[in-house]
Amino acid sequence: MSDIKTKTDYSMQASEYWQAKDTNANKATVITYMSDSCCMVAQEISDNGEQSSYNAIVLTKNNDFFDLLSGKVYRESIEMLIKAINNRTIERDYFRLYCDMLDKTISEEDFDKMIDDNESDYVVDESEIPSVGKLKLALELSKYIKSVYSVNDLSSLFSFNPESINKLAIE
Amino acid sequence: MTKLININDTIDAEHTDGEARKFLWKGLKIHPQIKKQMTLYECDWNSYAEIVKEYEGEQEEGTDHFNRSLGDRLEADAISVYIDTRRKIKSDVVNNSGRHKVQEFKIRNRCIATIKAPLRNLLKHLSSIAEENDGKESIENL
Repeated sequence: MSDIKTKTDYSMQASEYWQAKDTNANKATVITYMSDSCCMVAQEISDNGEQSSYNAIVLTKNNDFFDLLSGKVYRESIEMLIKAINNRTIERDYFRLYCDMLDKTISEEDFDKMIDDNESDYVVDESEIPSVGKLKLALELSKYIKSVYSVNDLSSLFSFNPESINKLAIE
Repeated sequence: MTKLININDTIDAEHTDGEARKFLWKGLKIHPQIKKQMTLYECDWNSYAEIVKEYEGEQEEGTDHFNRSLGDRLEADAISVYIDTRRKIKSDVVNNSGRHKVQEFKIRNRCIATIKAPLRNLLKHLSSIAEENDGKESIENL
C-alpha cells in the first residue's frame, strides 16, 4: 500500500482493497464511515430480519477505530461534558454570590466566609494534566459550547491545568 | 527592563499597569503554580502588562522563571492576569485617537501575568504533534 496521508487516501485505499478481495459478498448495502483518523468501508453480507452481518475493511491511525468501536471515545466525551456542565454551575454560583455581595444581600465578610468554607462550590478545580488525545477531544467538544475563546476558558470548562496546556502549545 | 513576547513568559509584580482591547473578568481561580486563590482577568488583542512596582514578597517554589524587575513588560494578543484579590478591578476605557478604544488597567495588588497560547492555534499545533507520533504500522499491516 502507498503511504496514507489524508482522509481521501483512506477512502480510496479501502475501496481498492475491497474490490481486490471481495468476490461473493452482497453488494447491495455499502456503509462508509470516515473521520480524521479512521476510514471504514463495510458491505452487508446477510440480513435475516433480526441480525445483519457485514464484512468491513478499516484503515485507522493507532487504536482510534477500536476506541470508537468499544465506546471509549463516547464514554470519555460524556464524562467530559458532565464535568463541563458542573464547572459552569460552579462559576455561575460564584458570580451569583458576588452579585449578592454587590447588592448587599450578604456582607463582604459573609462573601469571603462562604468561599473559604466551600471552595469547591465556588472555585473550579483546574488540576488535571490532559493527554494530547484528551485535549484534542476537548477542543472538538468546545466547538459546540458557548463562550470558549481562550486556553483559560477551555481549562475552566474541563478542569485542565492551564499551564500544562500552554506547555503543550510550545512543544 | 525586558520586553517579553513568548508564550509562557510571566511577570510577577506588586503593581502592574497595562492595556487591552478587552479586559475580561473571569472569576476566582487557583493560580496553577503558586496554588493561591486569585481573581483572573483575560486580555486580548494588542495587550501589554508592565511592572511598575517590584514584588518583594515570598517567592514560591517553581517560580524562578518569573520576571520581577521594574519595567519588565509582556506584549501579546492573549495575556492572563491573576490578581491577589477577591474583588473586581476597575479599568478605564480610553479612546486612543486613530485606533479602537482600549481598556486601561492599574493593578495595585500582587499580580502574576502570563502570555498564553491563542486557542485558535492550539488545535493546529496538536494535530502536528499527533501526526509526528503517528504509528503507521496499523495501516501497513493491512
